[in-house]
Order: sequence, then C-alpha cells, then structure tokens
Amino acid sequence: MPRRELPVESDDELTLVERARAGDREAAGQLLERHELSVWRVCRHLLPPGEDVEGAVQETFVRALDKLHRYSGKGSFGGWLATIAANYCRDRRRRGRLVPFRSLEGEEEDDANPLAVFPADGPDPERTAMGRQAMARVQRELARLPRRQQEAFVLRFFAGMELADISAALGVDVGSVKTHLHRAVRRLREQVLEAVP
Amino acid sequence: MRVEHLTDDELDSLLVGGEEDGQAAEHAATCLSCRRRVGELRRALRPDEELDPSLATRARVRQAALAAWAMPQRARRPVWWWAVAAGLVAALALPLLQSGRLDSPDVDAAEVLSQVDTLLAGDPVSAAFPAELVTALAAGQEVAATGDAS
Repeated sequence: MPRRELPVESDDELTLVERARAGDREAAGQLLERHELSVWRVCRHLLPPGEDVEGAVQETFVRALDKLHRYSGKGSFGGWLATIAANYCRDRRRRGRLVPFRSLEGEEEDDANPLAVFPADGPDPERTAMGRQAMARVQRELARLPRRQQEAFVLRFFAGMELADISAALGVDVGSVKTHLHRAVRRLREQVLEAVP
Repeated sequence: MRVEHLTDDELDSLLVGGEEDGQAAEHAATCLSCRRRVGELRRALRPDEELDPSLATRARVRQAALAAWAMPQRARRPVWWWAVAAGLVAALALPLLQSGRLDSPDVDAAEVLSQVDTLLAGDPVSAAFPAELVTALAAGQEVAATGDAS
C-alpha cells in the first residue's frame, strides 16, 4: 500500500501541537512541513479546474492553525489537516458551481506523449514507460469520478488516511467509504489495464 | 494454499485495504503473476511525484501561512467587514452627535470610546445583525471575489 510513503505520526506530534497551540511558530512550521505534501495533493486533485492550488494550500494551513484548539488528538494530525483541505476544496467547488470540463475531442491525443516527463531508464524501459502511461491515465480519469469517489480515493491513496478517518472526514460510515473506494478503484483499474495489458 | 489467480474484486479489496482477505493476500504474496498485477496497480494508483511542488515552493507557502497566522485576526478581516463595522459605529454615534449628548456633561466620552473599542475588538457585525445575514454577506463577497478573479 503506497500510503506508508507519507510521513507517519511520530511520538512528539502531540507535543508539537501543544507548542503550536501556545503560539510556537517553529512547532507550527514543523507540523505543517510533515504533512504538507498530502495537503498539496488533496488540493491539486480536489479543487475545481483553474483554481489556485497554492492559495488553497495556504488557506488550509491558516485555517488549521486558527482551529488548532479543535484538534482532539484522536485521529492523525495529517488526516485532520487533509480533511480541512478537502472541505475547503468542496466549498470552492460548491460556491463556484463549476462543472469539470470534459473535452469531446482529442482525448486520445491527451496522452499521446506521456513519456515526455517520465524518465525511460530503468531495468525494463518498456514496462516502466507503460507504468508511467498508466499513471497518467489514472490522473486524468480521477478528475472524472463522482465527487464522493474522488474524495475518498484522494484521501486514501494520496493523503494516506485510514478508512475510519476518511469516514469521519466525509461524514459517512466506513462501509460507504469502502463502496466509494471500490467503485473508484474498479474504474481506475480499467484505465491501468488498458495502458499495461 | 489456493491456486486460482485473484479475481478483480479480490484485487480491488487488496488495493483498498482495511480488512484483508487472508487467502487472497497469501496468494498475492506467492503468485508471481498476481504479485506483478498488484504491484503495477499500486504504482499506477499512487500520487505522481512529478507533479509535487518544489521544496522552495512548499517552504514559501508554508512561511506565508505562518506569517498570516501570526497576524492578529482583526488585521485579516475582509474589507466588507470593516465597511459594515464603520457604518454601524456611525449609525450609533450619529443620533448622539445630533442631539448633542456627547457634549453634555453627563456623558463620559472616554467611556463611550472604550465601549466602541470593545465592540470593534469583538464582532460588531455578528452582534448587530442576524447570523444568516452575516454569512450571506461573507458568501456574497467571496463569490464576487471569485468572479473578479475569473
């Protein structure tokens, strides 16, 4: 499971939270730095098209720091932060009433050269290239998933949250989270299999 | 040990995680073909690190957030908030000025100013208007800002 690649909770996490609550800027900076990649990824994938990702990340950080006293310490701090980011993105989407743009033309051309940004070196260049192509397809298909599936997927696979934390973040039970994830994974898997037969 | 390859549903369950099917997980660990399938899917479903911002960008945004956090909340209030607050103070003070009560000896000007300061330090808009109106004003402001930006 790739979620373990993200920074994991450390024993001093709550200490940092306490120090940050007391106004310690260095502690607050450390907290943000530990989990910022998740926030960037959540905002990148859940913001409506054309929205300012950088601004969303900054706003997420400010909101989190302002509401630090509300963090109970029960779930992971990273999950709590990612939830604030997801809520912000949902809010932007709702207020903007934006519908994801789906091009009717040139869909195949979109990934005509997915290798442009991917190094082709490695033990099996052909397999590596196909893998990168699959990843590009997944990224594109992800934007087309229904909102709940998209949120559940991004929080699980990109922010590394546990099912229970996602359940709390989305306000649904764990069973519903699993259903959303299964549907999302099934759809994305089909894209992967097309690229990597 | 089972010899059948993983079904698509079992594969999805392994990817989603949570309660794992022991037999499916065991098979995936020992079957070269299934292990490769799971591995390829996991690689494809992880975040694309190529799209992650540089360390410099991350540090810049983090520092900007910390600076905004250190700023008093009053300074971060939007322009509409100040406009409504100023209007409210003017509306409260105007009748007093017109009646000349501020000049009368029985009104303590310092006390009045102190009350205005207290009002501003709190949330005069929320205190004076229903919460729905304040929320609607804030929403309208953000929608207008979004429209300007786009």
